Amino acid sequence: MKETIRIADLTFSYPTKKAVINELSFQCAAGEKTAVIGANGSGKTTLFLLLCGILQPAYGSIIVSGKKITYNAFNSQVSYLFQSPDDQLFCASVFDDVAFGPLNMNLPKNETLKRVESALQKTDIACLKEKSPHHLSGGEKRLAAIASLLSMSPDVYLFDEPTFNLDAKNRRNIIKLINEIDKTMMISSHDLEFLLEVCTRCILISDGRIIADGSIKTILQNEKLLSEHHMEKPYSL
Amino acid sequence: MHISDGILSAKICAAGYAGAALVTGYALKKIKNGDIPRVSVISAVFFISSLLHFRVGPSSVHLLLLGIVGILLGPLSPLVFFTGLFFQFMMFSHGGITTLGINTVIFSIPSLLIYSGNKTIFKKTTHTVIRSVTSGVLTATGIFFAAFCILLIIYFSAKQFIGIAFLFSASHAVLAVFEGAITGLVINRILKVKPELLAFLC
Amino acid sequence: MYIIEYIEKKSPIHAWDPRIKFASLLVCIFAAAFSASIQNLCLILVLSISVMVFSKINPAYYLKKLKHPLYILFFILPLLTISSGGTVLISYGKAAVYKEGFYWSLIIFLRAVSVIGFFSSLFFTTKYNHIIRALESFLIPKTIIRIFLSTYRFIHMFFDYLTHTVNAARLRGGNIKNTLWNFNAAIGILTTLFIRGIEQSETCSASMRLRGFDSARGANFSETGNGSCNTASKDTTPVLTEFKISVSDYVKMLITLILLILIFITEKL
Repeated sequence: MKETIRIADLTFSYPTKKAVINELSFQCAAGEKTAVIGANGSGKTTLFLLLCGILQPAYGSIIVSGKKITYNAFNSQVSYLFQSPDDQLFCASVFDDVAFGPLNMNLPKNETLKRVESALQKTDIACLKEKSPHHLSGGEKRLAAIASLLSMSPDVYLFDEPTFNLDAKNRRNIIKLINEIDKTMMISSHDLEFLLEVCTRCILISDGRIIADGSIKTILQNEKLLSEHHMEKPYSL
Repeated sequence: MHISDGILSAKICAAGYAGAALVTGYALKKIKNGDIPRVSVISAVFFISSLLHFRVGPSSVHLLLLGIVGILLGPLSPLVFFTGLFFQFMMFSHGGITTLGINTVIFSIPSLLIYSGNKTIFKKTTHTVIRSVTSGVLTATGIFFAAFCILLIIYFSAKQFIGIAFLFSASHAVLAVFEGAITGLVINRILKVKPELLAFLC
Repeated sequence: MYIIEYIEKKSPIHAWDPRIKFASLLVCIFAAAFSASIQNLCLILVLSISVMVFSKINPAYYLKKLKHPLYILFFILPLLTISSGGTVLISYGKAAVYKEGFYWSLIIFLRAVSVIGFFSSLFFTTKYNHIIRALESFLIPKTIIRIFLSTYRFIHMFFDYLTHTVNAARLRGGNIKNTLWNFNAAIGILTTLFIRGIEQSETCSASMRLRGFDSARGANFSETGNGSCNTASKDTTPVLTEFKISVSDYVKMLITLILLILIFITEKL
C-alpha cells in the first residue's frame, strides 16, 4: 500500500516543556485508520498540531501525500478536527462554515455547492445548514465541524477526541460516519471502545515517543502495557 | 457614553461618519487577515462586558473598556468599537445607527491616545506596577476626555440638551475613576498571567 | 442570553430583498432621526408602525426592543423638560416645565421610537448573515463584513462562558450586592474574558488557516458571481449567499420612498 503519511525523526519542545515529541518516526498507509493513544500530556494533540502545520518541529520531516507539510501555510492534503468544535465553527451559519474550506481552495462555485451538500448529507445535518452554530447541541456542533472538513476532501483526517462529551446516539453517529470515510485517518481518543470499532492500527505514545505500534486488538489486550500508561483494558476485550 | 439617535444634527452625524471612516480606515490599513479573529473576539468581549453591571454604592455602572481594548489591540481598536457599537444598537437598541459614526470616534480617539501613552511607558520601564498604574491613569484621563468631547459635540449640535449633557459628563467623571482603577488592575493581572499579550507594546 | 433575532414568518417585509430593504429602511431611519417637525415625526411613526404591522410579527417583540431605550428616555426626557427652554408652561416653586423642553422631549421620543421601529423591522425580518451580506452592497469593506460575521458567533460563545463564570462565583458565596465583591469580580471576570478570548482567537485563527484562509488567492462570489478568483482582495471572504431582486422589491421601495416624500411635502404645504 502506498504511504500517505511519513514522519521521520520528529522532535518538538514547548518553551515550558522539553521534548514533548521526541524523535518520532512512523508511516501510515493510504486508507489506514490509526488510533493514537496515551496518557494526558503524552503528546497526542501536539503530534496532530505538528502534522497539520500549526506547530513547527524543531527537527524532522513530515510528508503527507508526497508533499512536505509547511508550517503556518495551508496544507490542503490534511485536515484537523479540534477537540472543541467551538474552536472550529466561526461562521454565521453551518452552511457558511462547511463552505469556508472549499471556497478558500479556489474551487468553482458549482463544485463547492456540490461538496457542501454532500458533506451535509453524509453527516446527516442538512436540516441544520441555515442554523447558527450557537443554536446547535454539542453533538450537532461536532458533526458540523466534521462536515466542514469533509467538504475539503483532504487525503488525511486528524481527529482529536471526536467522541468527547457526546451521548451514545451521537457517538454511534460519529462511529458510523468514520467507518464510511475511506481515507487515511489518525484518531486520538481516550474512548478505547470507540477506537476498537473504527481503527485497525494503534500507536501508543508516552513522553513523546512511540512505545507500541501494531494491531489495535493486540495493543489494547495488553493490560500491563495499558495500565503503565494510565489506561484500562476495554471491557469488550 | 453612547449618544442615541435623534439628538444630534445631520451635519454632526455626517461628520461623525466621516471621522469613523478615517479611524476605521486607519485600522483597516494596519490589520492583517490573521488579526481578524482577535478583533472579532475582542469586539464580542467588548459587547458582552457592556452587559455587565457593577454595583457601586447605591447605583450600578457598566464599563466602557476604552483603555483595555486600546491597550490590547492598539491601532485596531476602532474596528472593535465600530463593531461593538453596531451590535449594541442592533441587539439592544443601545446607542444609535445615525450616531454610530460619532460614537465610534468618541470611543476610538481616546483609546488610540491611551494606546500611544501606554506604548511610550511600556518602552521606558519594565516595572509591572508602574505600567499598571499608568494604564489606569491614562484610561481615566481618556474617559474624562471622551466625556468632554461629548459635551462639546452637544454644545455645537444641540444646545438645548446642554443641561443633560453636563449631568451625563459628570456621571462619567465618576465612572472614569472606577474604570481607571479596574483597567490598572486588569492590566496588572494580564502582565502577571500572560505578559505576551502585551509584548507588542514594548 | 436570549436575544430576539430573526422571526420566521411569511410577510411582504420578510420577502423583501435584504439589500433593497436595508437601503429603504435606512432612508426612513435617517428621515426619522433628523426631522424636526412633530407633524412629520407623527406621520413617520405611523409609517414605522405600518412596516411593523406588515411584518406580521407579534408587537410584544417590538415592545421588548423598545424597553431599554424607553427606560433611558423616561429618565432623560423629564430632565429635559425642566432644564431646557425659556417659556414656562407650568411652574412649581423654583422648578418649572418649559415649553421648548417639552417640545424637544416629544421630538426625541418620536424620533427614537420610529428609528427603533424601522431597525427592529429589519432585524426581525432578515437573517443576521443576510443583513451583513447586504452591507457588502454598500461598499462596506470585506474585512469589516468578516469581523461582523465572526463577532456574532463569538458573542454567544462568550456570553455562555460569562454566565457560567458568574454563576460559579455566586455558588461559591459571591455577593453581588457588595461593592467590593463586585470590584474584585470585575477584575477577575474581565481578565479571564480577555485572556480566554485572545486564546480562543488564536485557535480560531489556526483553524481558519487550516482551511485555507489568509492564503494569497481566494474566490469571492459576491463580487464576480461566477466563481472566478479575485487576487486583489486582501480578505478572501467566502460568500455563497445570492440575493435575487424581483420587481416587487422595487415596488415596495418606491412605495416607502414616495410615502416619505409625501410626508415632507405635506409639511411644506
